[in-house]
Amino acid sequence: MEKASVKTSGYYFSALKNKLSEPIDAASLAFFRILFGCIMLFSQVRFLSKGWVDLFYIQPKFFFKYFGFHWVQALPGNWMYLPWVLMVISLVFIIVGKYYRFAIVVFFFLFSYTELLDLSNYLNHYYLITLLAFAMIFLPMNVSFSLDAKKWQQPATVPRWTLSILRLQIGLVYFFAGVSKIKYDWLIMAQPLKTWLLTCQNIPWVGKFLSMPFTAYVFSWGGMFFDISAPFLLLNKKTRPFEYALIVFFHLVTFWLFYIGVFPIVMIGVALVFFSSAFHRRFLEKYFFWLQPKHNPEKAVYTFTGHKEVFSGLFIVYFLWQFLMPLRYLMYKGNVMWTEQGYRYAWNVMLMEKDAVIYFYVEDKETGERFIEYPKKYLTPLQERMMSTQPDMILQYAHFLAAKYQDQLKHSVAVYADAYASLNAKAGQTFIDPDIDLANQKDSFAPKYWIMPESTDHEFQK
Amino acid sequence: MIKVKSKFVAIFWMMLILVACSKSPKNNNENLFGTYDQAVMLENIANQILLSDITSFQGNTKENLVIVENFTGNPTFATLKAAQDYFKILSQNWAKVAPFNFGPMQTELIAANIDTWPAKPVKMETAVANQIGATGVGADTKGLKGLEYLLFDKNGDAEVLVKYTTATDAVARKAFLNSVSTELVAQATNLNNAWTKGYFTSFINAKGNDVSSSLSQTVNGIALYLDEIKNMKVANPIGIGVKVNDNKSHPDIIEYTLAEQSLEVMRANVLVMKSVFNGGSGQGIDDLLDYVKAQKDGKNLSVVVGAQFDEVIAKIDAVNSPYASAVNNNKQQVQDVFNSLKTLIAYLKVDVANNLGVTITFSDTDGD
Repeated sequence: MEKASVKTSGYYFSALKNKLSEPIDAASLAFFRILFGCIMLFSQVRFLSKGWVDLFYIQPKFFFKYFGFHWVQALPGNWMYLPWVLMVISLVFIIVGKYYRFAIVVFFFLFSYTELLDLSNYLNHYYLITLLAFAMIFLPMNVSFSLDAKKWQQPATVPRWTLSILRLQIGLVYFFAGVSKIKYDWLIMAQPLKTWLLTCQNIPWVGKFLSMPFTAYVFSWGGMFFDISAPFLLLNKKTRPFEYALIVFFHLVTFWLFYIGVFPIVMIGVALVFFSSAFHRRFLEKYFFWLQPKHNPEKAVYTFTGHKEVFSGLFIVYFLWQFLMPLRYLMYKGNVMWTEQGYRYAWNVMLMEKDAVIYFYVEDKETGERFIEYPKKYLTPLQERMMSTQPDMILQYAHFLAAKYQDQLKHSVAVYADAYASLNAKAGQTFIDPDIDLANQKDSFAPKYWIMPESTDHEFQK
Repeated sequence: MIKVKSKFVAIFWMMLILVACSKSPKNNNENLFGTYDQAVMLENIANQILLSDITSFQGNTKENLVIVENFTGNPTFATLKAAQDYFKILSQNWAKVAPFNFGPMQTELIAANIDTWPAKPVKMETAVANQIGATGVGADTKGLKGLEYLLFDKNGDAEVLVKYTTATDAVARKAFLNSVSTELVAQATNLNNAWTKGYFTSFINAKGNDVSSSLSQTVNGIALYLDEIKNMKVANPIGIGVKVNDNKSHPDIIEYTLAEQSLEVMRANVLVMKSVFNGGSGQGIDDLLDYVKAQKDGKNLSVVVGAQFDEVIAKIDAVNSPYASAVNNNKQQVQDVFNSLKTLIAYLKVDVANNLGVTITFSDTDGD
C-alpha cells in the first residue's frame, strides 16, 4: 500500500515536471514584459507629475528605514529625481526589449532603492512590483516581440515554468489577500467597509444601496471569496473570461469608491498573464507586430540554458518564503491589524481604518525634566500619519529623538510615547504603554510587549 | 460552465444570508438608513454658522473702517478708545470664522492675509516709513494682528496718540492704518462674495467623506484649528509647544499680547467649533455620529465629544485673566487647557475620523 502511494506521488511529480518543462509560446512572456513596462511607465510618470518625488523624498528631514536596510540613504536634493529618470528610460528599454536583461536589472535596483528609502511609503503593490521585477531578471522575457530577439528563430518557445512563476506570484497575491480577509473585523463587523460605504449614500442611484450595512457584508464576504478563488478560476479555461470580467468590475468599483491610486490598474493588467499564449500572441501581433523579427529559419532556436537545479532550488526557496511571509503573523499574539507585527509583505489590502495621535516625552534621566515632542516637528503629514499607527516606526522615531536629545543635553534620556488609536470603528484607546522607555527597546522580530493589548470588547457598535 | 457558476453563486448567497440572519437581532439598524440626509446637515452648518459668521464679520470690518477713519481723522483718547473697543469686537468676530480654513478662505489666502501672527513690527515700521499701503506688503505686515500693533502700545494709549499726532511720520502712519483697515474690508468682502456666489452651493453639494467632501473639510478644519490653539495659543506660551518646548513661560508670545483678547478669542474659537459639531439648533456632525451609532465608553461618541468641548471651555474659563499673567504665575491653569484640548483633539482625529471614515491628512497617496 505504502509502495503504491510512493509510486503515485512519484508519478505526479514527474508529470508536473514534464508539464512545467514543456515548451510554450514565448509570446506570453513578451506580453507580460510589455504590459509590465507600460503600467510601470504610466505609474512612474504619474509619480513624477504629482510632485511626489519632492514630497516624499526631498522634503522629509527624517526617513523611516526598513529593518536591515538602515544603510540606504537618499540622494541630496534634486538628485533624487535621477532614479526616476533612469527608471523611465529603463522601462522604455524593457517595453521594446532592447538590452532587456540590463534594463530590468537597472529597474529592479532603482525601484527597490526608492522603496527602501522610507518605510512610510510602503504599499502592497509596490512590494508586488519589486517581486515581479526580481523574478523577471531571471526569466527569458525578451525572446519574442523584442529588439533583442532578432537572433532567434520565431515563433520562439520557452519552458512552461517561466510563465508559471509569474502566474504563481500573482495568484498568491489574490489568494493571500483573500485569506487575510478571514478576520473578525472584516467578516463579522464588515469593517472597514461599513464605514467606507456609509457616506456613499449620496451617490446618485446606487448610494442608498451602497450605504446599507447589508451591502458592506456582501462586499466583505464577496471580496474574501473573490480573492481566494481568483487564481483557481483564472487558471480554468472555462471560468477564466467570467473571472476576468469580475476582476475588472471589482477593481473598477474599488477604484471608483475608494482612493487607491494605481493599484486597480496594476491588478487588472497583471491578471492577463493567466490568459492563453494564443491570446497573448493575437494581441501582440495586432498591436506590437513592429517588435516581431521577421521569420527566418536560419536563425538559432532559443533554448533556456540556465542551470535547472539552481533555478528550481532558488524558486522553491523564493516561493516558500512567499507562502510563509503572509502567515508569519500567526506567531504573534493579538490582532495583527492592531500590533502590525507581521502585517507588511502579507497582502493585507484595504483591511483597516486606523487612526492615531501620538506625542512623545523625552526625559532627561539626570534632571528628570520632561520635554514634549510633536512628530510634525521633523515629519511630513504623511510620515506622521503612517508612523502614528505603526509600532515599529514609533520605535524608530523614539530612537531618533533619543539620539537628538542625548546629543543636545549630553545626558542619557528616556523616551515615552503618549499614543491613542482606534481601529475599524472601535473606541479609541491607549496604543503604546506610556510607562515604557522606548529608547531602551530594540527593534527585532520578537513580540513588542510595549504595544497595549487591543480592547477585546467586540460588541457591535453599528 | 453555467453549472459551475451557478453553484458558486448559490454558495455565495447562502453564506450571505447566513451572515445577515445571524446578525440581524443584534444589529438594530433597520430604521436608521434613509432618515439621515447629509445635505440637511451641510446646509444647516453653512447657513446657520459658517456663512452667517462670515457675513457678520464682513459687516464689522466695514464698521471698523468707519471707526478707524474717525480716529485717524481726529486722533483723541476718545476716538482711539472707540477704535480699540471695536478692534476687540472684530477679533471676537474673526474668532468665529478662523477655524474653518477651507474653500475660498484657504485657496485665496484670505485667512493668511487677515490673520498671520505674529505680525512683524519692523516690517510695519518700514511700510510706514516708505509710505506703502497694505496691498503692497506681506501677510505678516497687516491684517488683524497688524491692526492690533497699530492701535495698541504696551506703554499705554498716550504712546499711541503721540504716534498719530506729533510724530514725524504721523501722516504716513494714519494712511497705513487706514489702508490696513480697508484691506480687511476687501478680504472679508472677497470671502463673503466667494461664499454667496458659488461656494455655498459647492459646500452643500460636496457630500460623502472623501478628502474633498465638506464633511472631511469641516472635520479636518476643526481638528487642525484645535491643534493650532493647542500648539500656538496654549502650548508655546508655557514652553510645551512644537518649536518652543523648554518648559518655561513665554508671555510675550501669546496671541493678542497688546489687546489682551487671548482668552476671549480662544473661547469664541472653541464655542463656534462646538456649534458646528452639534449643528446649533439643527443637524450637525454629532447627528451623523449618532446615525452611524458611534460609541465610546458605553455612551454615544457624540455625547463624549460634546462633553469634551464643554470641558475645554470650562478650563479656559478657569484661567485667571489677563492671560499673560496666568502664563507666568498660574501655569497649571494653562496646562489644564492644554490637557483638555489634547483629549478633544484625540477624540476628533481618532474616534470621530475613524467612525466617519474621514482621513486627517493633506497629502495625496497612491493606495493601500
